[in-house]
Amino acid sequence: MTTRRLTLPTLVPAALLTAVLALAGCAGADEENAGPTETASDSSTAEPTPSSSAPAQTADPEPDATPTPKPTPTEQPAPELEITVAGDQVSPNAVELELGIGETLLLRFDADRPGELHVHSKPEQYVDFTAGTSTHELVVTTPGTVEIEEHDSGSVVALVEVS
Amino acid sequence: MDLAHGLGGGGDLPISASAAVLGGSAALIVSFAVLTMAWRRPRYDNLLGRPGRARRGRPAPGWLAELVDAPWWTRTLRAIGLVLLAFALWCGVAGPDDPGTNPLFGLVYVVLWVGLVPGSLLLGPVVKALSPARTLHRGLTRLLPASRRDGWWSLPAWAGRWPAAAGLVAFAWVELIAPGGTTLPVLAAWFAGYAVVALGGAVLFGPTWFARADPFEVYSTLVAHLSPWSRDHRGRLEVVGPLHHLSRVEPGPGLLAVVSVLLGSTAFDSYRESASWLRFTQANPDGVVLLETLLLLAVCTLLGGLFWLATSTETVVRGISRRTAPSYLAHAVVPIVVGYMTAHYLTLLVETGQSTLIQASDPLGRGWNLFGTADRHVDLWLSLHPELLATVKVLAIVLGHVVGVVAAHDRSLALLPPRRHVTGQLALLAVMVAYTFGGLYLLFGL
Repeated sequence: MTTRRLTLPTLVPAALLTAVLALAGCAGADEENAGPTETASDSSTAEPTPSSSAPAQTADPEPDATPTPKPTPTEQPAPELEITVAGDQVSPNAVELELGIGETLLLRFDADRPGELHVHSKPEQYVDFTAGTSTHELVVTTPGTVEIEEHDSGSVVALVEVS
Repeated sequence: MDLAHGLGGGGDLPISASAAVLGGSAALIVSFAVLTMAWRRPRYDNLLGRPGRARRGRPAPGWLAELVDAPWWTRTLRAIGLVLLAFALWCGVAGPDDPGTNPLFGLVYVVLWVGLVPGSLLLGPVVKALSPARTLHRGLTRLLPASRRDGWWSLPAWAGRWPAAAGLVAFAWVELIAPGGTTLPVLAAWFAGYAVVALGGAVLFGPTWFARADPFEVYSTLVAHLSPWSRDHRGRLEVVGPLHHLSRVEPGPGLLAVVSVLLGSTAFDSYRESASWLRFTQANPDGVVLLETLLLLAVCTLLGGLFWLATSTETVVRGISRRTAPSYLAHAVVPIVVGYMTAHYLTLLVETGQSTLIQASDPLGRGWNLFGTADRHVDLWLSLHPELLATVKVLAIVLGHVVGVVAAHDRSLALLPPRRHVTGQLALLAVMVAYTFGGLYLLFGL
């Protein structure tokens, strides 16, 4: 007979072992990378968001509006998303954002009608906005890619990578 | 309410670049290891009348074989299928048109469509066993003269599983493209059409129609070829290894089309969720349905076409024509499909599956608790461990690739003349590596 060839019982475990080892190494690298970003997000949530357009707050009748932010000297501005609603025209168009787990995203609305945002996080969240300008805070605690969708128009305004 | 992106809400994080590169490298290395170092004579069934060298299956335990062949067991499974159908119909008729409350959407898009993969992997052809369409047809034929119970005509051989491929395109279309795919009227219209085609075809062509045309049954039966449960040549239940079982997939017209649609529709789903495609369709909303329909068909045609080109141009042994050679190799795509489905739908199955079970306790949104699950919350453990999730996804794709490449290698040895054993496999291997790289690239995010 011919020389003994590599058989399946040896081949498959060997292949899987290679893949597992490679991925284990890679997951370790990810954790190292993830470390500094998470601490950075922690520091930015710990400090109030610097906001020069704070007067807009006065127009906001919502009880859950953000407390008036004090300008503080942070190295990084807090992440913000400005959403403009004019009837069925909603902008921005699926802008891509990155957010830390538990980090606050400031939503600034400029709307000519009231409406609702569906935040497809796990679990889902809903943000009601009124006509006029208003601000809201959004916090996502589950990692993933989160679509933020204006409900009436069905437009996705942002895709947020939470990690 | 119409969710712009179907069921399931939140998506997974993209896998990291290093995970994608490592997964791809592992797939590539294994591919060439199989090509150059693996066995040189077919080990598994090659459907050419020559048995493989590998040990065949061993008989299943006697009590198990008796159980699954017992008429009362078969009837019980059919009854379960009918009960599930009745529950789904009740949700559809009496329940609210809201995916946030009505479990019907989750039952169709998660429990049926995604759940049939692990169900068939573990238990065998579950859809065939439960299929309410088969049971209803059996009831209908009682009304027909005995000579017509197997249909008026026999389905022509050239039709093969092409009807199922068309059905799978139709299901992918309603799930991923149709405006209102998560509304009751659209879902009801789709399943009304399904019932007419499934039952009408079965009356005309006999029960074989289900194995050729029912998209769910054909999909489930293909995946079941990776399960340990098979039948030997005398029809007795036996336990077999997945590669051996996979080698018994019946070739024939339309098999390549079925696996191409399964792979292509999932790839399309990944691409459709990308930010760039979303921005494009939101900026150009006119004609998106037509454009996405064409894109879905194009992706499926491209994937199937590449496979066909790679496998129909080789010289093959006598008894098989070049035209039919692709269908003798298309079973090798099944594990790649399963790996990619796992990567793509794992969180949907686990998390939206849970919310479907929670909704099932209160299908009409009236504060009921039929099965005691209404007060449960979705356990997000999987999403909360993104590194583990990413690792599982890449491993699923690589494992699917390994099994697929080994299956293709073994069948190629039977199909190709000896002097072409290695070189004759190169084109097919390149296509399979391209499938896997494409899958990893889509998971990595565009």
